[in-house]
Amino acid sequence: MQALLRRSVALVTLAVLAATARADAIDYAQADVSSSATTIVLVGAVGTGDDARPAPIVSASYTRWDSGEAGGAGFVYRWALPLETQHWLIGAGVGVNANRSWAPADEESDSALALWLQSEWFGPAPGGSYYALARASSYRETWLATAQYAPTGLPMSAEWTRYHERGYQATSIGVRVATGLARWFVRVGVTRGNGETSPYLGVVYNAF
Amino acid sequence: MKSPSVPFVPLEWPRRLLVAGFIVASVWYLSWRIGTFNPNAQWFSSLVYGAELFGFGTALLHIFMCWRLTERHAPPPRLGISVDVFVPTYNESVELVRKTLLAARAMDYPHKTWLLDDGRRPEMQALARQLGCEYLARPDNADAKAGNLNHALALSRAELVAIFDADHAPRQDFLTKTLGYFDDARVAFVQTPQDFYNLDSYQHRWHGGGRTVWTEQALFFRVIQRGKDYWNAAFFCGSCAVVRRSALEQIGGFATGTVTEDLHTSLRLHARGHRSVYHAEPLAFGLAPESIEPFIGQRVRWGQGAMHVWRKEGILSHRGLSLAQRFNYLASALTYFDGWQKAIFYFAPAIVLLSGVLPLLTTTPDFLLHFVPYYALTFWVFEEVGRGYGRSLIIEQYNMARFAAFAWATLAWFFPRMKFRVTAKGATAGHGAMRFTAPQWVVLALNGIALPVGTVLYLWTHALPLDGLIANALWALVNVALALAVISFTALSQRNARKRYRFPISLPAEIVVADGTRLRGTVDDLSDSGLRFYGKMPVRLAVGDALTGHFLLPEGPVPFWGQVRGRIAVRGEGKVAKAIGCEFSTSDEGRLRLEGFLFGSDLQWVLNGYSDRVHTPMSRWMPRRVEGPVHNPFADVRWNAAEVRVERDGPAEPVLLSTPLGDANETFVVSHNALPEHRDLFLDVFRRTDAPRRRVQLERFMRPGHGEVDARLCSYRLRASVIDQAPTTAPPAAAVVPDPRVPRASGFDALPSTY
Repeated sequence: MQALLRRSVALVTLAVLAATARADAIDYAQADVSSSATTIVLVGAVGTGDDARPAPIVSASYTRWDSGEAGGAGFVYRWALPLETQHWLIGAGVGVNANRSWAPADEESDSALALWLQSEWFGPAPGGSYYALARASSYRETWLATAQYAPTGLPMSAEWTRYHERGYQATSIGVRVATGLARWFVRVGVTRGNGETSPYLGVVYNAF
Repeated sequence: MKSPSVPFVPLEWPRRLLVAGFIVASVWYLSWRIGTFNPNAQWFSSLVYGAELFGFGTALLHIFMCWRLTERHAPPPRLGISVDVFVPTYNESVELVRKTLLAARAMDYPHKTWLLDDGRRPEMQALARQLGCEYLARPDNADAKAGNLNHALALSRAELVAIFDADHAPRQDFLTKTLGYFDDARVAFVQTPQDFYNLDSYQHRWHGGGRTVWTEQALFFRVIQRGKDYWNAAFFCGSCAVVRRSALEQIGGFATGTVTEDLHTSLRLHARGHRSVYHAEPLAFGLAPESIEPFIGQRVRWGQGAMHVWRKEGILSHRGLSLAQRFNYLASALTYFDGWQKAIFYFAPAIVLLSGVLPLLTTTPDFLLHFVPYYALTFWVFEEVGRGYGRSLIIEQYNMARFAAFAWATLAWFFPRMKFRVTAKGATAGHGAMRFTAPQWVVLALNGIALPVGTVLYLWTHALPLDGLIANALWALVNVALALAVISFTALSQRNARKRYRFPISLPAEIVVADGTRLRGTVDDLSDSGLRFYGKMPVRLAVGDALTGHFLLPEGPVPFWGQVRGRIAVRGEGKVAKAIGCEFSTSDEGRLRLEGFLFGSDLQWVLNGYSDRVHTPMSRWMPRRVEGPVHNPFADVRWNAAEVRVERDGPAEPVLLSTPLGDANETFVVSHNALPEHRDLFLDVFRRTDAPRRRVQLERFMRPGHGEVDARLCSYRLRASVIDQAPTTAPPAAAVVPDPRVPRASGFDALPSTY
């Protein structure tokens, strides 16, 4: 029943993503489904920006797993550091985070305001291009690092992500395949967290 | 430098012609492909082409290795060679190690058996003492297995050292079949195949009505090692081998610093100019990985070890190796890079369908003209060069199962400090084992989603041409099917895993039920604690009933007591049981004898006519020119307990009598002792339906089958059979005594009287 519910949520999310993306209401959307969790991430730029003055972003994420759920939303102001061919953006902001667990041995629920710090790097790399993001939050000692590499002439990119929070750590590796529709990608890979390995499948809309 | 004067079997000429055709078709296809790259997707085009080129390169190496296969016959050993038998252990159970020690101890030819315990466990010390073996432990585990072996080398003296992994029980004639090779002073080691007794493992597959048992390592041990042997490049596999101490001393003992001391040691011995021998007869039987977890773990370790050896010793540049030896070692190391090649093939069609980007631009007729001959010949040549041991369709499933493990293992070339785990032998498969199918789930998910998404995108955007869509959809479907096959086989093997392997070995037996009724019949499906009994069953026998009994091993009866755990009913007659399943116990002595009988033997192969070889198209079409598997009539029968007498009321010799399963029209008798031929014998059979005593004549029957089969079983064909009209007073089985007039089987005289 729970699996059915999760799949229904994922389908509805996909539909919402498609609709909002088509309406240009968001700039980045991602939904992943795996045997252990479902994750949704939405990011939108506030106003317009350029290389020297990147636009601030608002973002929201929600994850639901067998015995809990977590979500967060925040605002991050970004600054560009001057580099020649590479791009380096740093950001700081605030967010609201919430976490709820209904596991019998670990039942808890909390929410808090948190400070967010992040750094992004992107630009050309040998044989292709890269994007990397590191984000830390004062909420539950959370940090996230992700790196992507997209070879030129290959309609896909490889990605690696490490997520850390108090009581849960996970590493994911996967590929992101460009679809025939501009800005839309399919993600597939494997996440290993807390001793469990589960494959994930997802869809991404990226207008940045 | 090839092995001089070693008899060999070359690839038959029709197969050589096929190889020539394959090379021509491949060169034609691959050269044409260079002009088909998609200029807008150079990376993608290069990756797919690189994978194809790699496949062709490794196919050439494979053909080179398998061109000539040695066909050795064991020279008899001279007397007086001193032999130490090493059984290294680290975390295996006492139960597992006991079986190996029992078999090692029972080998013909004087030797001393050593248990090398890196786990430093008192129970292992007690086991060694109980079985009369030497026990060695060391204060640390430096250099893992290689360090353990080197430690034992320093404390032992024999000129030859036989090595068995803790789960590999040798056959009684292991030493007599291998020591003779050491008369050639240049021989440093003799390797034999690593066969397995648990034929329900993760790496075994059953076909041909349950009589063809293929294993994932069959191609390596039946073909590739023999091909390497021709070039004096067969490598030591760490178990089921005998090594010369003086040769080891020249290279400083077993090689350390890598996780595959076997491959590493072989390379150093070959580089020092020593010779190796591969004796292709299965002479020891181990425990194959029961689930995906140890299966994958083992292959990761082998792959990492191969990378370590390559890095450390430089396979291509190592001084002292001949060019052919370098090619052979290179082929073994490159195997693990298959993982990357397969990954490209598993993901490429999904990428095409999703992105609409093709890795090659051509017209359909042109593509089919070049691709079809190349592709078809690739598979066909693999089948033919594999001599019926390389099963393309099943191998493809194992390629899918292990591609990520292989790819992961190759990273050890760049990161040599990557950790590895000791392969867990005899451990029950855990619930988490399905996580090892994560790569297959990824392949399944990506290709599965690419099929509908690709079709929708085609209708929406027309980014792909229709033929591109069809070709890649078919390709993705193949990948989906392979991934599903691996996932479902893994799930099934997890669900069906028995705690103890049941040997499909038939034995005459008698059970006594609670009311004192004695039933004679046949035991099969036997482990050290469970059995199935066929015979004339009383209707009242029910699950939970207690029983006692004995089954007859070659050395005499083994008593047991137990309980009925299941009834197998006659079809359509629910109340009538044709067999019962029992859980049983026996005495310590009985258990030792039973384990000594079951393990370290290929009896299950012999009695059931199992084969791990199948026909290739050429061996089927041209049987006179291309060798194929020989039909084994034992594959068409099942066995019933019986006994023969020379005189009407004289002492009985327990035997097994065949019952045809299908159209077989011959009847066979097998016995652990030689029986008189060409004279009248009295035959009584014990089965579900009554059968009258018969007068029969026997003639010796030479069994084809699994290598040079265990000589401990005498086989006969029934020449004449008539119903004996005279009344009989056959003595009960318990009163059976050996008949001194019955000659003993040659090669079996070392054992005490049987039955």
